[in-house]
Amino acid sequence: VPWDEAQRAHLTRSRDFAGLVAQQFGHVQGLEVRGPTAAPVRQLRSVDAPALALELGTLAPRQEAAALTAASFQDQLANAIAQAVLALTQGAS
Amino acid sequence: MSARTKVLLLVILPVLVIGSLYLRSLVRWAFFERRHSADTAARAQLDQAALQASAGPAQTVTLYFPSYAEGKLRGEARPIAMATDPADRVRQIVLALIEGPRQGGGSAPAPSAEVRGVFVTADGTVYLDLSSGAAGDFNAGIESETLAIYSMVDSLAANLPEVKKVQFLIQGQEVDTLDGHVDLTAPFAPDPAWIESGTGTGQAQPSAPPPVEAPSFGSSGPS
Repeated sequence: VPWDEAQRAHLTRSRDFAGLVAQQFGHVQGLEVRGPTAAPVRQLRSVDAPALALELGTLAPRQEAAALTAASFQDQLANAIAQAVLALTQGAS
Repeated sequence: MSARTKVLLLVILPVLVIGSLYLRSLVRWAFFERRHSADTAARAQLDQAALQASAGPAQTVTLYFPSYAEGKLRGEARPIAMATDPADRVRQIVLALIEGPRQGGGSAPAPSAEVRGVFVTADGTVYLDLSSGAAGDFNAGIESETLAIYSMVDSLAANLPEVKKVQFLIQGQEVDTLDGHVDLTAPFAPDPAWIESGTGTGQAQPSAPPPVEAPSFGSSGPS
C-alpha cells in the first residue's frame, strides 16, 4: 500500500470516529457543532489508523481565543474526545 | 598612519560602501525585478486577452464563493461573455473568482492571486497554475482551504462541461498543500457536497474517483 494511501483502509472507522466525536461534542455547553465532513487533508492521508482532524475555532484575539484558551473549556473538549476514543475502541473489541 | 592617509580612507570608504550598495541594487533590478515585472506584464496581457476574446453575448455563469459562516459554497450568478478557447474560459472563471463576490461571502482564491497559466488536456484535466499569492489572504485552516479549492473546482465544472478534474500548481510547481492542510498532490474532481443546497446549478458532478479524504471535523467554536 503506498504510504499516502494508508488512510484508505480506515475510512469507515474514521467516519465512525468522527460521528462519535460529534456526538460527544454535542454535550459540551457553548459549543456549536457543525458536523463531520470529508476533506482532503494532507496530514491524514498517511495515517495508518482511524483518524480525523479537528478544527475547533480560531485563536484570533477578537474571535474565540478567550474561550479556547480557558482551561475549563479545554478540559471539556479533551474529555469529549477521550470519551469518543473510548467508545470507538470499545466498539471494536 | 599619516593624516593624509586617514583623509583618503575617510573619502574612499564611503565611496566603496555606496558603490557596493548601488551595484547590489543594480544586480537585483537587472536579474530579478525586471524579470518579475516582465512576467507580471505578460500575465496581465494574457488575462486581458482572455477577457476580450469573447465569442458573443454574455451568458450567465454560476460562481461559487465560500460562505465561511456555513462552511459551504454559495452560488452567485454573473453575466460573462465567454471566450471560445477552453483555456481562456477557465482563466475567465478563475479571474472572476479572484475578483471576489458581489453579493457577500468570502473571496477565494485570495485577491492577490494571479493566474500564471492554464492548460486543458484532452481528458478534461485542467492544470491551473496560480501565483504564490493564492496561498494567503484567507483564514488559515482546513475548512477555509478546502472551500478555496472547491470554489474553483466546482465553479469550473459547473460552467465548463469539458472540465472533469483540476490539478493545481503554485508558481509552476506541484506542491503538497495550498497553505499547509489541503492535499494538492492529486487532481480534484468536482464535489457538489460543498455547495449550499438551493444555490447549485446541478451541473457539478463527481467524475473521477475521489482522493483519500479522511474526516475533518468542523466546529464554529465556542459560542
